[in-house]
Amino acid sequence: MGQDREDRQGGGARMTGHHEPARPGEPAPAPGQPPVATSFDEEIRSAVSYERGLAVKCLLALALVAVILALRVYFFG
Amino acid sequence: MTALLLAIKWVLVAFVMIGAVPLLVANYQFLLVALHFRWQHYGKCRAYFPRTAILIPAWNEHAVIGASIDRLMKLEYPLDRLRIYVVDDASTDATPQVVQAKAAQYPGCVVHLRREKGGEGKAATLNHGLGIILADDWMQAVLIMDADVIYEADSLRMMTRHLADPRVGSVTAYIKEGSRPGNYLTRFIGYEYITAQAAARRSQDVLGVIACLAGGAQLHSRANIEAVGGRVDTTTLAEDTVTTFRTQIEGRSVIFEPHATVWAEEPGSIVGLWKQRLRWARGNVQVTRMFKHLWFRHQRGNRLGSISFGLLWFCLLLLPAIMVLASASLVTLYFIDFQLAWTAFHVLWLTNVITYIFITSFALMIDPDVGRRTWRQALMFPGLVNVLILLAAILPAPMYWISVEIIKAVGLSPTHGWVRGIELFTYVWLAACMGVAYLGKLAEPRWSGRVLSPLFVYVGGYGPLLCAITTAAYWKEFRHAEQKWDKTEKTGKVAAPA
Repeated sequence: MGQDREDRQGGGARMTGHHEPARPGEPAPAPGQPPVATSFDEEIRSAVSYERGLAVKCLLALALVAVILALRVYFFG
Repeated sequence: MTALLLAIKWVLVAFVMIGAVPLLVANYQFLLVALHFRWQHYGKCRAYFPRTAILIPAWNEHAVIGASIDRLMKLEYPLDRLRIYVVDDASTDATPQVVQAKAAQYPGCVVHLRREKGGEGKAATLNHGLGIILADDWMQAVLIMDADVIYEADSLRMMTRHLADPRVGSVTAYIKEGSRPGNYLTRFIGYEYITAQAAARRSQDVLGVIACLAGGAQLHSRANIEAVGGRVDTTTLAEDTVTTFRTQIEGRSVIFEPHATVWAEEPGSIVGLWKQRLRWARGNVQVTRMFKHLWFRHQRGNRLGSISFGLLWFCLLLLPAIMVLASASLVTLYFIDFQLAWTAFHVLWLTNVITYIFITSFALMIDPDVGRRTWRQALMFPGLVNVLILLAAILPAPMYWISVEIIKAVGLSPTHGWVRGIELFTYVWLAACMGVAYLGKLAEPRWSGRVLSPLFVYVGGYGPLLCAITTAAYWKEFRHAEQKWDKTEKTGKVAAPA
């Protein structure tokens, strides 16, 4: 249990207490269950991978356009 | 005389071809989506949890505000770095009691700010909250949201990770339509949001310029909100767009985080949609005027003046005018040179076919979950008649045969005059579809509206309905109509999927 939950039990002392600013890259404190550093990296990899997948999907959509245009030209022109 | 006629003909052809420009720009926009894997901001992200003030403007939101606060307290975010400020805009319902009960339930995490004089609009309400939040130095970032939206548990931390890069001023999320059970209109909006958010904002990310932070999901660093004056614009109906522009003018980046999902309740009636979108469209006209000095002009430190961004912005803004221009030109050309009109129309509609197939199929693949729920609306987005015209452009011979058979079936003779009549109808329909979609709004409050209203939208098209709203916005702005904040009614029917 991290300091946040302890604070909450103490009746909101956080509101007036001094807060260290979070620094980029530091692992998150516990209470709201943010991810640990390894899962952060996995999330980034997963996001980039999804975006890469969109490039493939775009090619599929273009292929569909090409097929329909080909059908139009060769069979229904 | 012949030379003059020839010149008129080619001017008319040019006007028809202007109708293809928004289609080409839409294709360009979707092609950019495919490049998002190369031009995105993830390389500069870090696990970063700034002290975040969540600012919620609330006017008579008792039906939704309690549940919204409960859900925010379940975010995957350190609770000592989260404070919720509800700015109660002189609500006359139980909003103050609900918020005060939540403040007691989550001591130190929920703050109730009450405005005794309300009704000045969302921007004034936000400024009241921003003034208080900025007065102490606790806040490192501020998330401006709507009272009814649902943030998925991981969404805020997915947004804040971009603020680890000090050059980023603001981050926005992917707003999805979340009304349950929903109806035909909310499913149209669901599909529209794939194109207007998931796709359009990815492409803007690639271009390095974002048109608008979603009003219900805008995260700003403290430095950014201070740099834009510590308040949002109150002179237009598009305060979120103005903030987005000012952020970029100040030299900070705006990032779209497509994997941070926020569910929002959208209007389930055309009257509600009209009210909401008229406000947005008027806001866009006002923003266009407000930033008239930057369109298509190179800007130091931002890309708001780029040609690509200008094309994206103006093709959307001017689409109804372009449709009317193309339609009127085709009809005029029909009476001057029938064959030339047909050729110009054919080129325009083949461009339309390519655009329709590419964008519809790609959009459904961009967000397959929403796509599975909205594929029928995706197919019918341009309207039934326009879909038939598209089919005729792809399959002219079979469609001609079907048309002839239909004419015969109703006891008429398929003469040359009929065929020409149908052709003239298709030229007119390019603009008339907006009017038919508008009939959906007129029909809705009447006793027959339950059937007729969706029928008009399906026949006229949801896209043309949006164009009709933009046309109404032109008219309101031209007349300098009263600028009042017509709040979209929320009932709490939004639900994130399990």
